[in-house]
Amino acid sequence: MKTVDIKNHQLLDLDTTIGLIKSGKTLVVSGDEQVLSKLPAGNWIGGTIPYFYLKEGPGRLDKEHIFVTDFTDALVDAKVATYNVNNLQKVGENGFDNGFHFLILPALRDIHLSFALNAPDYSNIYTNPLLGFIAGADLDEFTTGSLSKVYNGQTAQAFTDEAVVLHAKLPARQVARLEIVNVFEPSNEISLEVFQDGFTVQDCLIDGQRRNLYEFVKENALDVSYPLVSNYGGASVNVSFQRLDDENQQVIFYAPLFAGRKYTLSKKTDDYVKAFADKAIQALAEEQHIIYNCNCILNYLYGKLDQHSIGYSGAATFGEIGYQLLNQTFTYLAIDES
Amino acid sequence: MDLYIRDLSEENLVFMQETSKKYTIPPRDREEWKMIVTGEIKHYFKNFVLQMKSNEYKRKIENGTLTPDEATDDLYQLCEKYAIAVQNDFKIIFKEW
Repeated sequence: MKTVDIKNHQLLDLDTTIGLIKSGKTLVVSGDEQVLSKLPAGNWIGGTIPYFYLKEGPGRLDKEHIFVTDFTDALVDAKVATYNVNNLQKVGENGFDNGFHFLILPALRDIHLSFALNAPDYSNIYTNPLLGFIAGADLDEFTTGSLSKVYNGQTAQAFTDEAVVLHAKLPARQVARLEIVNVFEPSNEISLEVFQDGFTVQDCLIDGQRRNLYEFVKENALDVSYPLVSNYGGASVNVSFQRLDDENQQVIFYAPLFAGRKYTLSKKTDDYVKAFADKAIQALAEEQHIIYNCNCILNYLYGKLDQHSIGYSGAATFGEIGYQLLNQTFTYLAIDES
Repeated sequence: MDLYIRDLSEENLVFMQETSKKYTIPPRDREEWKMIVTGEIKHYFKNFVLQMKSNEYKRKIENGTLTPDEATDDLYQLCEKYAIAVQNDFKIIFKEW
């Protein structure tokens, strides 16, 4: 199998991570709350994610190690900031003339919803890449109400309702390029509209008729490993099923659905896991200077990445950020000479 | 195949500089620039930013908050910075330059 070695992007133990922080490194970290809460103050941001896919072998749910991306050598400056739902729209205005913004949001909170709705209209959002991920948790705990957390490393503070950002500055002759690998396309088989914005849907309009979405999924045996797809500002964006809530007869998603937008099912592929893995590894193999990647938790689950390697390592996130909220994608950041 | 990605050694920087020389964008006076921002060219961009921005330009030109020239200048500047990222789409639209 082809493998991709992204330097300074690896799963580390707690002591090694603490050592990097104490030596002044600029880090983005993912891990379980029990390890992230032990990290000292320093130049880092983090989010709770305990699932990792690994180049060396099968991935795993791991609450003792931390996935660390050390950006230090790539940057000439960096600053850490915390944003709330009222000022997140300024994220593209802050930072540096040339670089990138690494954003981590808590899952299924107001700021997550607000970002999904408003990010395409944020000012100065395309001047430098805005990338990152949605924090999560052990799925067994997450589905019973456990909250994800994000960390501002400068104060080692954790937040459940705010966002953290690493504004990164690159050398003058280099530019950051964010790439998004998405295998899903709209099928246009049905047209689905919701009545109100949110992560949870009960009744909705399907081809103009009021239906309970939970019942519709059950009756039609829809494969919920395939996301809904909608057009957000001209781009095709996935909205992934999180779970069917049997008790409340509702469907919960990893991204909010918005009233006034039309959603449809995504096209089936012969083998989406293979299609995804092939497309991602092909994209990576053509690159020379990748400094970060992350993959959706659903690709980890449906792709059984806890049983085999796909040739590269990273954290399995509860949503990806590529200028706006994404689901069920693989994203990476490359550095080019300008 | 192993790719060692963050090697900023002198040898690697030379490679990057030589690689970057291959990537240019079409001249500002090509009419296709304006046709992109006004939506006269119908193209679904593989590049996510170009797809979002081309829709934004079209919308803003239609509602009068941006002129075609302003939009073209903005797009040209963005593409100058990210010349590598726009090559695939521009080969389809501009063919050659």
